[in-house]
Amino acid sequence: MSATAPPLEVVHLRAGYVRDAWIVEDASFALAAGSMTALVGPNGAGKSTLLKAVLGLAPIVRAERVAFFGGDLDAARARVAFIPQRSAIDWDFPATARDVVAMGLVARIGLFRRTGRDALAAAERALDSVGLLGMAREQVGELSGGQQQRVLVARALVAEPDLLLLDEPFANVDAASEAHLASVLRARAARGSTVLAVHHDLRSVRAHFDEAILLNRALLAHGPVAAVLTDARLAEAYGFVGVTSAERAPAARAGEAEARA
Amino acid sequence: MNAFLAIDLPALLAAVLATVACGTLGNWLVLRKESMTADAIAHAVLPGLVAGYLVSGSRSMGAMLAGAALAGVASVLLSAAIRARTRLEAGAVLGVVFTAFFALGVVLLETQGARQIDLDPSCVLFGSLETLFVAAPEGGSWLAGVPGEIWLLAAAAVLALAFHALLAKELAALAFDPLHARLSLRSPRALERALLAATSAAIVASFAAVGSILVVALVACPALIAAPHARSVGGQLSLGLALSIPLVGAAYFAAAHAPSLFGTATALNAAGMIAVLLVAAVPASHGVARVIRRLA
Repeated sequence: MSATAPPLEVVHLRAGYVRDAWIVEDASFALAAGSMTALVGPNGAGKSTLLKAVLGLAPIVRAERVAFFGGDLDAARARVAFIPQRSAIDWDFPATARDVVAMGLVARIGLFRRTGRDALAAAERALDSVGLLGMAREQVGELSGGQQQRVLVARALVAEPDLLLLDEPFANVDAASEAHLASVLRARAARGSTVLAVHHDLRSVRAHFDEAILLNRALLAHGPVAAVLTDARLAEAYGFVGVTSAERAPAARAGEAEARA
Repeated sequence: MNAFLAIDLPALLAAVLATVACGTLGNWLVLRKESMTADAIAHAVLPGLVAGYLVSGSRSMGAMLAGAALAGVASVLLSAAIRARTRLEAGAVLGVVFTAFFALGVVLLETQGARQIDLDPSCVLFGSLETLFVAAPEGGSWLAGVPGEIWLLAAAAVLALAFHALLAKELAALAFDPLHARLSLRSPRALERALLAATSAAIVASFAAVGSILVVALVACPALIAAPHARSVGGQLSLGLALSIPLVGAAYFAAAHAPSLFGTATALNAAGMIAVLLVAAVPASHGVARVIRRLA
């Protein structure tokens, strides 16, 4: 494992749920340390599948190479954090926000040991960093969607990861939570962590991210946001020109609905 | 020795210990939305019980428990193997495997003539709480007469509580967000298998005393009764046991002694009564939670 190895390097990755029906047909990319990258593409492009496949969480994955900091995932497990889609979680679970954030420390605390005072204090600091210290003892099920998403980010941050992989962190999140989350991730990147997030709203890619990966089953482009999200490339990926499509509209509408509620 | 110490206390003790063993592990199954697993395991152990009986040629507890445990483990491993090779949903796989095992048990019962040689099918359903009694030897202590089933249940209850205490943090992370836990835990699959193995042990240990119907209720009901009021995993477990144990006691006495108050000679089946009361308590508890929320 060399010091200069990229936080994540993927070479010719294919992934899917059924044999010989690949959702992600070919993806190769490497993330630079400290970069913030948006993973964009139309619905069904395989964005979430790619994210899970990289972590070995998709059913079928074939790849020439998937390296974390130059080594395999097992060696880097403690340095990598994954935040699944909020909708993948059953929020009726009996736990406070602080309990959930402390779950980010389970591996570090170690088998057969209890979550002690130190871990709970660390969880409160992480909640503070996402602006939810006042909610530490609230049941997670009673928080708003945006607050739940911030709890998940706090659960990732509490372990001080060097690489953060997020699946739609801004989906169905009110505007205040989105701004807060973006600044938290930005601050994390400024301290050297690398961020890769599946992102739906093409309009806000530029505001939140430095780089973008454009995916539509295969990886179409990877680089600075302005260079990737060109009209020609978007037309190729989405089948239209510009960002006036229905693709971002549902996300925007859902965001407004949440803000109203 | 009075009748309470000789007859009521052992049966009560068995029912309460089974509640602790099954309810503690059942709390995790309920949190994972897998409480059907208990039903499945309770059915899957049947061929093992029958095989143990056939091999040993007697209703010896050791042989039948060993057989049941083997059948439980085999069915779990087979389910895991099928899940690893297909895209079937977990519940569907359990449904297939455990019904196959139960069918095998019935076939064994029928063809091997176990029915004629005194393996009572009603025992399978209702257990034998009524046949547990303390026969203290002349001049010996009460403890010396405690039947083996109760010691077995005590061991199962201690094992379940220890399992919970040692692995609660990992099990909670895995139940709340399996994808996240699969990345952060080194061997989530081993943890899931350990939970299934411990649950099987609790079910098998309880099976002989309380039967398959009550086992299923004991696994699911404590957690389901506590769920609408619980604010933590540990709270759900403690509240579930604290509410269920008095219910179990009340149901036992209602079954054993209430009929005689009405001049009926025959007592009701205790396991059946306990199951009815526990299951009825689940919607009652949800109703109470709704009222509390409206008042708050």
